[in-house]
Amino acid sequence: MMDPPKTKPHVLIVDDDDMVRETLVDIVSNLGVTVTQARNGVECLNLALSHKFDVIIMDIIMPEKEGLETIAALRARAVPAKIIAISGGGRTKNQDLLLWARRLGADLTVQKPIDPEVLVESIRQLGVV
Amino acid sequence: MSSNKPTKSETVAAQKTPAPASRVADVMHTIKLQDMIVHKYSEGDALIRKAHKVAYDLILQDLRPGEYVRTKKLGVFQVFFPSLTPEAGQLRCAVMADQIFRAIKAINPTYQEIAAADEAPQVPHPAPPQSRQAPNQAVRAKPRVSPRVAAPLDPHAEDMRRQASEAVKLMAGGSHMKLEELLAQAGQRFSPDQFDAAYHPMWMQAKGHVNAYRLTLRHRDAQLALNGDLPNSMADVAGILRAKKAVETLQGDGTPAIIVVPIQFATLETVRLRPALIEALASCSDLFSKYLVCDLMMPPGEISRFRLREFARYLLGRCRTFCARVTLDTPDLEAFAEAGFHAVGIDWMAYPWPERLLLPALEAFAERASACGLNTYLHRVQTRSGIIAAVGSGYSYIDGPAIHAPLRAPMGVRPYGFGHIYRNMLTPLAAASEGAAAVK
Repeated sequence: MMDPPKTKPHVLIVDDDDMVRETLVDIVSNLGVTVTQARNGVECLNLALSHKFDVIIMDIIMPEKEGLETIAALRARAVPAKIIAISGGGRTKNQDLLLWARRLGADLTVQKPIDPEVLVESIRQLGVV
Repeated sequence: MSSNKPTKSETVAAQKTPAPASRVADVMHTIKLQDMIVHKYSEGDALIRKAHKVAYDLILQDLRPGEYVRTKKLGVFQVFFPSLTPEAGQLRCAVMADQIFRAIKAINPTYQEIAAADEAPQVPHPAPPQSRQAPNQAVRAKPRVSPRVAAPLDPHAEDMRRQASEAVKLMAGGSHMKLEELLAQAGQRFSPDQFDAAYHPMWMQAKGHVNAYRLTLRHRDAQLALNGDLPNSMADVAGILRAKKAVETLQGDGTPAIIVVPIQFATLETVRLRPALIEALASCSDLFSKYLVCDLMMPPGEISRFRLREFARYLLGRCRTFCARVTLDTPDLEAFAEAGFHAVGIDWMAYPWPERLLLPALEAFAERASACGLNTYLHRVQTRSGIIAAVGSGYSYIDGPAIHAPLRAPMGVRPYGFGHIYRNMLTPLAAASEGAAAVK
């Protein structure tokens, strides 16, 4: 009997900064996963409720609907995807944001500027790839 | 005084009101600078010339249509109030004289020095504070000039000073009705009781609590509230008085908190409006000053550094600290740091931009301010995304509906954190996790 065809893991990348988002796509694509992009929390929520994602990589500071609120909304709607919250670096100076991302339902947090190896390791740690 | 015709030295405020000679005697009041500044130095006339110009400008600003001022002699002003009774005119003149006295003291500390010497003629002149001492004034402070015996003050002038002093005391904490009358006579339109107060809790994220309340006043007359000229010195004085009450109440409850009071830049800048505010601040106890923060509203972006320092001096020592509400494109933030401002802040509602544009602009502003060693605050934040962006950009103080709705009275220092912002989301999360545990 043949095993059923294994589908590629599906990763959603959420960041308002085009450059950061493209960089994240480049990093994650090397893992052989399907990647979808969203520019803010609203887009993320719409996509997450209509598609199945294995991992959501979420920026915290975003216009319209920021990351913490989006994470809480995803968890309140029982979206099963693993969530990696990213923040920090030049724009974000506050560590409390990542702590609260964990409290609101993020599985892992990664500090900006993002080290590709750290991000890849985080995704592996979640058992997705 | 023998003729009603305007002479070259007579200035009519708006429209001259002809009056019979007999009546003019009733409505004319004299302000003599020589009675206010007892000049004991040989260069006293030079001081009077400077003071004359300042006083003249101030009187012109203060006059209403139909009133006018005449000056025939250096330092002497004859002011006519045709529409006021002699008593009301005298009171108005007293307030005017007090404003002049304070204005010339503020502009040139040498006058203050003279005034101090009047009170204690045997004591050597103290050097003026270093921060206020202009280079050319250092020579005057030296004892090379021997003071002459002070001439006795004109009893009329003494009476005017006494009345003005009483007026100021009333402004600082006495009967509001009297205050209203006095300010109306000084050209002001509002009394403190005509305003509704709201206190906006300010979140100091780094410490994890609400430790200050920003006071806003709204005139009960909706039409006036919408009027652009609402912010004036009366509103500022009203704010100080309201804040004073609030601090007293909080102290009585054992939960003191800081009250942030807006001060219009125009109030500090306008010689006619400034004295009431300064006096209201000066009359406050040290205990109150410890909990008062003045928020200077919208100083011009291109303001020169020396002027900013001058305005800061009016607030220095009269409150816990002072901040400035500025615009995102204010070019010289370093000037605010140099003048001793604690923080510079932005009004979120003043920028109805899409957040994708506003958030980076707020971040850039915070970085510029931080580079100058200034704290930053963000007022009237409407959205959670705005709060998170402000926290992420390092704003020290944040307030707005997204933090907490305005209160009718401040509530003291209270713990406040992200949990309060996401309270409505944490509850369903907790319920969901409890449900999951029960299933297991």
